Amino acid sequence: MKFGIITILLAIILALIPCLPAIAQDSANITITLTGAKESSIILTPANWSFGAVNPNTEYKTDLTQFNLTVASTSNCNVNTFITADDAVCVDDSTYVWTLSSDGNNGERVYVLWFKGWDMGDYTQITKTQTQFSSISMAPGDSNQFGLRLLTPQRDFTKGGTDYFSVGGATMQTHVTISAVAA
Amino acid sequence: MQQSKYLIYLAAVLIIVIILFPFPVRAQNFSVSPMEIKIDNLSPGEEAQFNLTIRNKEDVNHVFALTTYNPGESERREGRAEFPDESWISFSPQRVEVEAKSEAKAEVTVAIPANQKWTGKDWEIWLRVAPEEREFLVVNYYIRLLVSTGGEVEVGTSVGLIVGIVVGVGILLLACVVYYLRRKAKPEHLIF
Repeated sequence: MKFGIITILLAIILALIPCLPAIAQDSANITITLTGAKESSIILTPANWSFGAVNPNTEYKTDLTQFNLTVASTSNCNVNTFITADDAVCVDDSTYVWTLSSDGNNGERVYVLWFKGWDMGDYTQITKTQTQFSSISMAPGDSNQFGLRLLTPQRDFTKGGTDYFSVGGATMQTHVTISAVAA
Repeated sequence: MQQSKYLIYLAAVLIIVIILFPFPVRAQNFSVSPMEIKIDNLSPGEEAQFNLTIRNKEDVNHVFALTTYNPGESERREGRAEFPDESWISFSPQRVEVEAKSEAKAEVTVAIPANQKWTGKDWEIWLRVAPEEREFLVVNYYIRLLVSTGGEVEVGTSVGLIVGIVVGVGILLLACVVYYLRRKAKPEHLIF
């Protein structure tokens, strides 16, 4: 009888052995480290801007100090910054779209956008693929002023010697995105 | 007469104009933390979780979308390769509503499939936090996620446990059968 009980106990112990690795793996040594700043904050002003009324195939520029990007002094790490933009869509008719140029040339319903920091040599084209906004990483408290240059699309049609967009008087809306990542 | 002609031209120009972008002046002001997360020794078959905090510093509520972005080689940390599959990262919730002047958290899960080819890797991917209501100028944040995998593939906990229990029960049954047969084989004692 005793031999039987011992046999069953041994069998239970043997039965538990294959379970051990499965249970043990719950305590695997994964290390999660939250490094860098506790918080990073960039402030972009103004959030909105209007070029006003524009004509076909015409260039417009803002002041080079029109926009300001500041890394908040409460941040405690440097950041790398990138810029990108979208197609411009007619607010009243979303089927009417100006595509953002990828090669710097405008065309029918293709517009071009550039940016330039107040201390930069030349304008840099903004495309749908993000490009570096500032060549050096920005530290907490740093500010970067910049302006935009817009080249509108070529005319949709001409009437009486005057160039027209087919949605005259409408509002076109686009977005310029500035992204920050820990340097 | 000449003046009225110019006025007609001016009117014609105004008819064809397009007005780009509305312009109430306002700043975008929100922040995220942490800015960088490093996960070491995450074996294929395992998963890791952590939280992101989004702080809305504006006077109105905002909804933020969480997505992933695979940066180019020049933008990654040295020695880090492209993260193989963005579907291995999930957010809960994927859209985070943050009330004015407050903060909210989102849980991020990184799960590497159990496959030997994902052992001993160093990857980098960025987590993007973007406001859904966008104005002309938009601020996005990227959080660097650095993942290093362990040297061994871990079988999933539930699979291992089930296999263990099946083998264990098998051994137990075998022991019972042996015990039963031994008892049966014993000669019966006669009492006089």
